[in-house]
Amino acid sequence: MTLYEEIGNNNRVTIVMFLLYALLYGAVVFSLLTVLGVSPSFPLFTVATLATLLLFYFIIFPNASQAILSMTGARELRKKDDPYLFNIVEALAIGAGIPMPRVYVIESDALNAFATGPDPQHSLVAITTGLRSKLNRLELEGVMAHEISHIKNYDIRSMLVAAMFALAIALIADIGIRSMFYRRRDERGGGSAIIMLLAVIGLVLAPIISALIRLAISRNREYAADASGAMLTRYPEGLANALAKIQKENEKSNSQINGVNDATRHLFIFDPAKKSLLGLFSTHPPIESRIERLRKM
Amino acid sequence: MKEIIAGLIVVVAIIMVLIYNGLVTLRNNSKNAWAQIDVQLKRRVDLIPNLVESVKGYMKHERGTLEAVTNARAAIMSAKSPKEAAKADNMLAGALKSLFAVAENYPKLEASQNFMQLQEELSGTETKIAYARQLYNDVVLQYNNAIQTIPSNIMAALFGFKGIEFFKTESEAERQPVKVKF
Repeated sequence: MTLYEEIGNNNRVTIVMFLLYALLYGAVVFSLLTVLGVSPSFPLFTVATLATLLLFYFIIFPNASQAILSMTGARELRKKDDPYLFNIVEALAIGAGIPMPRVYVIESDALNAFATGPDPQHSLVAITTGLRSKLNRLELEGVMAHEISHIKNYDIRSMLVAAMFALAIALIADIGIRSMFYRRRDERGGGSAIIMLLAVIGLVLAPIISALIRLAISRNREYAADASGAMLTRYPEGLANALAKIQKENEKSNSQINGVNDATRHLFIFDPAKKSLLGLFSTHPPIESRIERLRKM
Repeated sequence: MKEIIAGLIVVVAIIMVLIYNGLVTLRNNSKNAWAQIDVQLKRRVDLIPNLVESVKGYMKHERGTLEAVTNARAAIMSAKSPKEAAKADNMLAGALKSLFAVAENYPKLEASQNFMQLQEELSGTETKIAYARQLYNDVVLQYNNAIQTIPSNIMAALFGFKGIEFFKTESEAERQPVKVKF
């Protein structure tokens, strides 16, 4: 696919996935209602869920970057510390039309980089010392362009919305299942037994399906950032080569980065968690596919 | 029946406002992108005096090369039209190229911290100028698409939104492939 087609395609896929998520949310709420019988406390429950989600979005999210920085032990880079890298990031930010993100460095032999921040005005990029030393200019540009694209496309915020959906779905499913056990005592209209069964299955499966959708969205945004980054540098080969180098190195060594857990995995350019089982459970698409798509642009 | 027509009029009016606002935003984005290029160009020009100073001590016998750089900078600062500015810009690019080529004969200069920093700064600024021009063309593309496609082209014609030219390289010399000889 050409570069333009890649970007359009990725955005359409993201929209489809969020629609799926919304449908799943609706199905779970419906299942809950079925299991409870329409409970008078439902509006209260919805308000409570929405309130916690809004709290998360407006208060916790904007300050999350600081937490991630301390978890990984990153330190801020001044221009004089590394003018070469600084100039690369500044140039790419100019090309992307966003304010320049702050630049951080993580002491680690692992080859990785990430970007985070609630919006382009409050964002940052980080790179490990290992990656910084192994890449040449074109490859560094490719990696930084990928990160800056994440910022520009508001991917971090999209992933947060997906995580909030997941949380809400998990909460509702949990409540639904708990209330089921209480309902066995009183017989409340057993006519629609099949619907009841479907509702129960729905509640049990919902968290799993939700996780799968969220991971699919994450993989899709990775492809999108690859394509947008390539568009920015007009040189897909740079990132392709960088990814190839990262894959080779990380296969050999076992270097770790501090602060990597399920909440932060998706932010990195290369999945830092070694234990990815099936393709469905990884936050990033397989490296070979990413390199292949880049080289076909 | 009257309510339906009134409703339709309201909807059309809202759409027209949205399109108009979109066009204004795109046009302003283009103007902003052009101004951003100027920011980088000025940065390049501002680096020149430092460069000349740090080089003068080492390259005592290369007055011609140094003068070419200083003259080009003066030409840029006194240019009165975009055409003059573009010409002066080319002059500066050429003069800098010669300066760095000549600097290779002076290993002590090449090794000095100051010189290396300035070289990195200048090279970084060239990259930024290129990206600023790329962004300008990207943004202008969006604007030109908007004023040419239906339905925004109707609003564009009604309110006098005109197309903007892309940034193109002026000199034929820049279109030639670069030959590298050692």
